Amino acid sequence: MKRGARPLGVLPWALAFFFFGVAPLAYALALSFLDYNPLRADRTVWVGLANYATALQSPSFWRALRTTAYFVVGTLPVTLTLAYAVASLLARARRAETFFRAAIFFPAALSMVVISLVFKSLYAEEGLLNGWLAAAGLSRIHWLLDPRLALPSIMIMDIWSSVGYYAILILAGRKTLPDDQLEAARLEGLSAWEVERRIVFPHLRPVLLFVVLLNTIRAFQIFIEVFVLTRGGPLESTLTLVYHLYDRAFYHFEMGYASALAFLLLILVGGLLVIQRYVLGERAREAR
Amino acid sequence: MALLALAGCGKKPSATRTVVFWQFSPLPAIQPILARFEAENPGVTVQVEQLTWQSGREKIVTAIAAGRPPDLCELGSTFLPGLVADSTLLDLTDRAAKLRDRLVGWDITTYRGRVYAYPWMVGTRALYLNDDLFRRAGLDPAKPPETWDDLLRAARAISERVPDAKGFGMNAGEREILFKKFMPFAWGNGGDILDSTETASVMASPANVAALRFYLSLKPYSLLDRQEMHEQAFGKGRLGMVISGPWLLRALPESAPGLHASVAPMPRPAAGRGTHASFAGAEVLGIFRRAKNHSDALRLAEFLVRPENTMPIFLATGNAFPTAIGTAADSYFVTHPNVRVFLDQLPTAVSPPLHPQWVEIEEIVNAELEEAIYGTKTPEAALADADRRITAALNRQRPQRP
Amino acid sequence: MRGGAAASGARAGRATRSRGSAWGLYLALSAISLASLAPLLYMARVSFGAGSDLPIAPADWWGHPLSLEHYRDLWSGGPMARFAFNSLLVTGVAVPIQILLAAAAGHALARSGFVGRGTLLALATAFLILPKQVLLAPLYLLFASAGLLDTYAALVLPHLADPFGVLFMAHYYQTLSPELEEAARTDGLSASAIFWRIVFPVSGPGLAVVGVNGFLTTWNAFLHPLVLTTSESMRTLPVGLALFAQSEHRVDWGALLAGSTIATVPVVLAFLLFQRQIVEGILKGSSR
Repeated sequence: MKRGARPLGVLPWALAFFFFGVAPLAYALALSFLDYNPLRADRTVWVGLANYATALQSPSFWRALRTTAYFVVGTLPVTLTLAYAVASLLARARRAETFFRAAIFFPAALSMVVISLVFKSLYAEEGLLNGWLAAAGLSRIHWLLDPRLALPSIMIMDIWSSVGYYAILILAGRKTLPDDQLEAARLEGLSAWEVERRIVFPHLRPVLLFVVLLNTIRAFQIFIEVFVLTRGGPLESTLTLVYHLYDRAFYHFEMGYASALAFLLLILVGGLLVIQRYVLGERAREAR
Repeated sequence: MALLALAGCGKKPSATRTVVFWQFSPLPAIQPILARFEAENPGVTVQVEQLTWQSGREKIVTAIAAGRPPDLCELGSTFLPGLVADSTLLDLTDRAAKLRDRLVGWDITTYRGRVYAYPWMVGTRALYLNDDLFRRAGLDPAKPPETWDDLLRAARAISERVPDAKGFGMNAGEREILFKKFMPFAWGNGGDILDSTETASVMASPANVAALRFYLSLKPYSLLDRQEMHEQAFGKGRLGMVISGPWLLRALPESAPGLHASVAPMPRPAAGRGTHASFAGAEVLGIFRRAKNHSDALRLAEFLVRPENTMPIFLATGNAFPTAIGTAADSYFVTHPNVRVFLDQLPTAVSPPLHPQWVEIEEIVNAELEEAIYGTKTPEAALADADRRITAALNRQRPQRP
Repeated sequence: MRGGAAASGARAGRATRSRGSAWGLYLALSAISLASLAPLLYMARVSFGAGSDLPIAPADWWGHPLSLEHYRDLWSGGPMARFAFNSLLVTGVAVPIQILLAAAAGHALARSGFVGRGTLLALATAFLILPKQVLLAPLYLLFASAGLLDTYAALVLPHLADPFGVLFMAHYYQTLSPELEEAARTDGLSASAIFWRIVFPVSGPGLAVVGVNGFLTTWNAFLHPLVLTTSESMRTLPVGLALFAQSEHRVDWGALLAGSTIATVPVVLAFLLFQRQIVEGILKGSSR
């Protein structure tokens, strides 16, 4: 079977993958050991692990990790609960399921820039939310300018934009549940609640764990939201690892330091994946 | 059609020499001037490109890093320190000698006695007043705040007496401009960031502390928001006073036709004490060492700084004034008294030092000011921390400097 | 998936449930759908308003006159038309190439054994979950040294390395029986004739998934178009919009949200036509 077909067919993509994927990754690793600023390429020095050491001692790095931790703790329970509830509702819909599924899922297909711009306009001093507050006789809220509210405001946006996405994942998981198992449970006289608790929920465990992992990995990679809404401020309350990386690489042109930050990100995300494998004991889904 | 426009980045196939010129003004404003330059210098073609403020700095740095910088480049005075530190700019000291007494603003482009760019246009900010809000608060807009006390009293009166309005616009949410907004108060009070030799921090001086304490006393009567939101709120009649540049004067008639606004110099600490300091920013013309056509770039730079070539750009953009001496005599400023205020504000405006570590210093000042504005540090603690961090940065770098 | 939906419908039908709770279900789903779409309706509403300020009170929202002012402004001279053109061009070039690369490489990986096949598959799979931010600094430096910053090549090329389409198609071809191809080979057809005449025509359903997911990732791409372009004339819609929102002095919300609406229309079309394929792509691990 694996004889005589065109192995050459892999070549065009493999070249692109090498030049724009594998090679840059290797280059990033090399950069992370250098003090390299493209403006003063002549002053490039090999610094060994110094960039990593600097990052681990930098308050901004730890602040960025803290932001990520807050983000996960703040969004995960809400997103997961809502997504689970929405998926259960969708699974019960007999009519117009396609319509509801599409409407709820649609934000997942949208550009994060568009989502962020829309929320920026909602959160603006003169925006819709403050308009409602003012109409109700309440004082305006500085959604994105208050260090205590900026991150929660971004979290609300994230929850809005990702519930549908996770609901679709969970819904797909529900549909792999064999019908006869549900039927048997009903014949035993279990209530809907008990069916959900004893049969559906255990069946969905791997999917839910996968959602937990995905949400956490995404939290490590937040960038657009911060770039559009807060630029890491106020008081670095919304500084994320990737925004910090972008700022060092493309504002200060510290390519070596930024690459070290990038590899720390890689190590963190890789570590999470290892933990996930360990927790699940097997691959969450046979994706490919 | 569109594809043709894309391909046609205007390379003329001839033996003429080309000067690549990057600048920030709209093309319709600059093109007629460049056409005159080409007429005056047969055989030289100017290839002009417009930069945007959002990404101009990145584009310039990228071009230098890639070894393909423009020949002549308009630079904001805030980018200058980094470029000088990275020794990317051509030393223009000798050529500049003959222009010395024709332009102002040389201190902005001089580092350790060497000139790295020609000052082209200088801009500053002043205090905008909403006349109607002043009257509604029982104040006289013909008597703008002269001192800090007046400013505080006016801000307070407007906040307390006019519903849904604030007295003053205090910047927040965009850390990178905080020093521009606060330092005028410090400068007016005799304070500064570095000492006169530019080798030590004076950030925690009593003059700075007093200025920051005063600045924070405005907070209860201030709209805390980004500059663009201040200007929007001002246009909507919800903000009594805002510090801004001449561009707002141009925008208001269109965005807020019914608004009565006037412009006043920045207040000073007290009657007879301190100065009406403001922030000065400049547009300068620099030539990169790695550029190809140095000689024509110099020729173009010297052509552009002439008053008859800079004035049309000022009239088209309204952001910054020509550096050419004698500009104030132009009849335009007689017929536009509000614009004239900015011109009168210029002599007491201060620009940040051209120091190779300015980018880092600016970052520290902004970060600590933000702490003070949000109340997470006292003014004294914030300035002491800024002082400590700037001192550390200066000590760390000194041995490596040439 | 369709079968699953029908079955769950039937299940729900058999369950004893009062009319009232069915009403409750649809009411809840309608409310969720509305919450999910409301910010986008708001975006469209502001974009069809007049003036550059946000309408604040909800009452204004309905009473405000409708106008095409912002769209007219965008079309006459504003940079938005150029952003849209760039996005269309980049997507129009990148996605067809992605489809071809995915078909050719996917087929080769599925049907032929060659040295390094296992390594390539493993690397490609690893890249699916790799935080792409790691590649930013090296890609920037590579394109800078090749003199390709700020070109359409810089906007298109990184998309061609995306491993999702290739892995998806490899899996897709593995599920197709190779009998027809083998018969054709016995008939003496050349490898390329087999690919184009026999394999390609039956690849439609798989390539639809690859194409629409490639479209979404390319159209919505932000990070690499941000750092690999520096001129306003080279910005794509997401990058142009995000930077436009940061102009220092005045945000023209009407224009901004009109631009966002323009950026959203193709996504809506893709979604209406290919929702099933988008969902399938997401379930198989396409990065959002």
